[in-house]
Amino acid sequence: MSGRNQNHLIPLSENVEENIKRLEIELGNSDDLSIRRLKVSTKNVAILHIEGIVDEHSINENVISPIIQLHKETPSFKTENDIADKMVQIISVPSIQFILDWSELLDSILAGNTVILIEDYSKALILGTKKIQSRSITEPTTQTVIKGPKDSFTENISTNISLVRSRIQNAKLRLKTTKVGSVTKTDVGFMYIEGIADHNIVMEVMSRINKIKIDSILEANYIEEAIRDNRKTLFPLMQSSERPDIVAANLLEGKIAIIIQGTPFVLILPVLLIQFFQSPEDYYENNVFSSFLRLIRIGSFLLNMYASAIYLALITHHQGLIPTTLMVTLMAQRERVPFPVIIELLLMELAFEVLREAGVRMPRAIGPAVSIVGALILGQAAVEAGFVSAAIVIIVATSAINSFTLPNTNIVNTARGLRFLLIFSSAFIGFYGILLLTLCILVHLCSLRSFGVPYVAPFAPFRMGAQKDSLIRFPITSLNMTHSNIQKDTKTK
Amino acid sequence: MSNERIDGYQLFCLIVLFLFGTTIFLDIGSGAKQDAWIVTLISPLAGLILFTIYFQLHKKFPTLPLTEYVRKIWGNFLGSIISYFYIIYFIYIASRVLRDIEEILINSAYFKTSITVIGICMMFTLIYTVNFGFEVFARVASICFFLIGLTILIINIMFIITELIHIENIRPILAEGWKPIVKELPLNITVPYGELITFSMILPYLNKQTKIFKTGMMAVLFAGLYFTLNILLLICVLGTDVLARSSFPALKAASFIDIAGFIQRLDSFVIILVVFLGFIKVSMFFFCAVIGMNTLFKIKSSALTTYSIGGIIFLSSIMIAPSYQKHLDEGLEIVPYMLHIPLQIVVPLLLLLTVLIKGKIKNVMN
Repeated sequence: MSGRNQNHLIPLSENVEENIKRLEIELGNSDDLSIRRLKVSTKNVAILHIEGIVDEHSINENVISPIIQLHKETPSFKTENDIADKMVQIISVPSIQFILDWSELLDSILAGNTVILIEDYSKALILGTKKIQSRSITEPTTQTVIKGPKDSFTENISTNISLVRSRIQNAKLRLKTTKVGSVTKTDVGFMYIEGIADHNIVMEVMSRINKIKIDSILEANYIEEAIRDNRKTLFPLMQSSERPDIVAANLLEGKIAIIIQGTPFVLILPVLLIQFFQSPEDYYENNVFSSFLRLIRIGSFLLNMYASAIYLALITHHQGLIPTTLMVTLMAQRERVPFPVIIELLLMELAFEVLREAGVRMPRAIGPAVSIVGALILGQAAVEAGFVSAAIVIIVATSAINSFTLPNTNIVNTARGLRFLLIFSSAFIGFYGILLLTLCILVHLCSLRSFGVPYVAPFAPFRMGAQKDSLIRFPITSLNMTHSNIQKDTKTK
Repeated sequence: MSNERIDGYQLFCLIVLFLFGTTIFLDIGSGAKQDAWIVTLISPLAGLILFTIYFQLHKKFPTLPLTEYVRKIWGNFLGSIISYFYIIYFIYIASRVLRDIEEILINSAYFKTSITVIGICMMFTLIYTVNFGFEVFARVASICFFLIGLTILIINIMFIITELIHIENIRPILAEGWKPIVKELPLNITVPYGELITFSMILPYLNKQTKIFKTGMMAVLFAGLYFTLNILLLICVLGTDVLARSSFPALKAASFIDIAGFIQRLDSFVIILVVFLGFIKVSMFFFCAVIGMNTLFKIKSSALTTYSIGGIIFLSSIMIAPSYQKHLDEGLEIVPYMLHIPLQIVVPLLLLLTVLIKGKIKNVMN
């Protein structure tokens, strides 16, 4: 396989049958290789394609019938060159290329193009007849909004590009495509707006994508893990979104989008931490209300991370901080519970993680059964049986509900990981442990860069102008929607 | 270390938080009784002078830290000895501040916890931070500035709404004349303002060299004004007697807060301030010691230096004093006169004089 990747050229044979034989051997006599043999004047012509990834209707109408027509109308040609030239005139497909190289032929037929071989002619004609089956555009499933566009990306890269293009009809919108993955040869598109996106970051991303050396790209995360700045972090250094409006908005802010064939998730980079708390809906609603919701989301994220750890610290280390009446209630509940608080808490947290995983994995039909088991048995019955205290159930449920307010799932997983770390440090030394771990998280956050852009901008380094759209959102007319966070302070490693 | 990006705003946050340090928990100038606020109002002026001295020295050698230009000014032999003293001084002060944090924590919330555990946890955090370099630390400081500011604001608002403030506590003004104030001044100048000497180790590594002086001045004045407000609040809430007797007046004052019988015991809330401010202060000294060590002994990899200096700071924080009282006594009676005044004031002043005289001589020769 890898031999073909090297640059030396393997010429095509001038004998059509020899080429077909060779192709059949290369493809292992694959049954979906379709071969149509024709004659144009005296020369043999073969039309080859792979079934299922081409537009068969178009091949019949626009390729095969004109060639048959040609054979009828013009009985003789001087040379093979004339045949080829004539064919280019009569075949009506969007693109026609001439190639000399065997491996290029193989790649293009596998990509869904149609190949025409002509006897005694050293080149092959490649016709762009690619048509990949994909589902139609549906509503987004992971990033839903009440008000706003309802379309989402599909698995088809060209559909996805068209969704973005239709939103930004500007000549400066650039698209570069390349193939990544030595086995899968996946199409990876790369969009940015010239003049808004930082040129250095564009070059850096391109060079990082070209340096990727892996066999397969099946989802956006394959690319993300291969090109991110820091491998040792829980925080997402790229945003993935299935909403074209998010991608368009980010492109307009000077970000770069990476669109990958086979996944509805488009990568956006560079990314700032605050972006994970911003929903596209923030811009579709009144700015006062959406600012409030943004603060709610940040609060929820913090509560999701800290609620369990703080409860644990209060109960085990700082009982004095709890008002007496509340303390009495809590202690009365804990009376019957046989476990220490940390065990109780970890049990419930893990139970919730299991429920969550089960919720994703289970077949739709038995969904209600799992929720009954989860809510009633694990919640109420566990409390009544005295395994856990009611307060723990409330705390774990609160932090769980809070995690669902975040518009982006990438950051939720970060909070899940950090929550457990915080619980352990809190169990060890109470608030002091929580504070020290918080400091470590802050240090870690400040050390992160996403393609050279400081992750916690615009807070550190502090940018006054960018505050208009970070924690709260000012009216759209007062935001000059540019890229102030991005272009300054870039230090590409 | 050479390409750190720290803007004026971050430098401001750093200086202010560094000056706040552990100072805002202690009874600064309480020897002057109800006039302590006059002490804290005057001492920043001396702080400005000290900062000017450090900045003038820095301007003469914009690319070198203190421990390096000492050797340039006073020759390699004497200079190296002095820089070595400075490194030890930074380590010692770092461990003193760490000891302060440990004691505050043990006295306020962790009565039964061992001082070693408290120290070791803090030290791991510090080493983790120092390994990332100064740029990251400066950004953390600018974020902490918000968190700390918010906490201080909340606590101060609570003082006001719970009607704990008794203005009559600050009267009579200047009852015993200026004498007690003058007596308190040297202590209040050396800590915290004299400790700005640490910034002469850091300044050469900043990329924007233009606004340093103005930013520094503003930060010193800001901190001085806040100290005054803080001590005024403490005097008004606690009264001079309690203020002089309690080891951590800020914690004591916060514990008076009681809103509707529900919001109580806010002294544990003050722990947030202790940990964050203490962290920043120890980190500063830690960074200075690491930079000094690396430049003096020409060490390339700073990880080893960081770990060993971190270990030393942690161990000495436990060993420097057998008890908190002894630790305080040393801090009030020995350290200012044996260490602070010579190293923060005398040596920099002599250095500046030497540089100026050398410059004059050169001018005359030419």
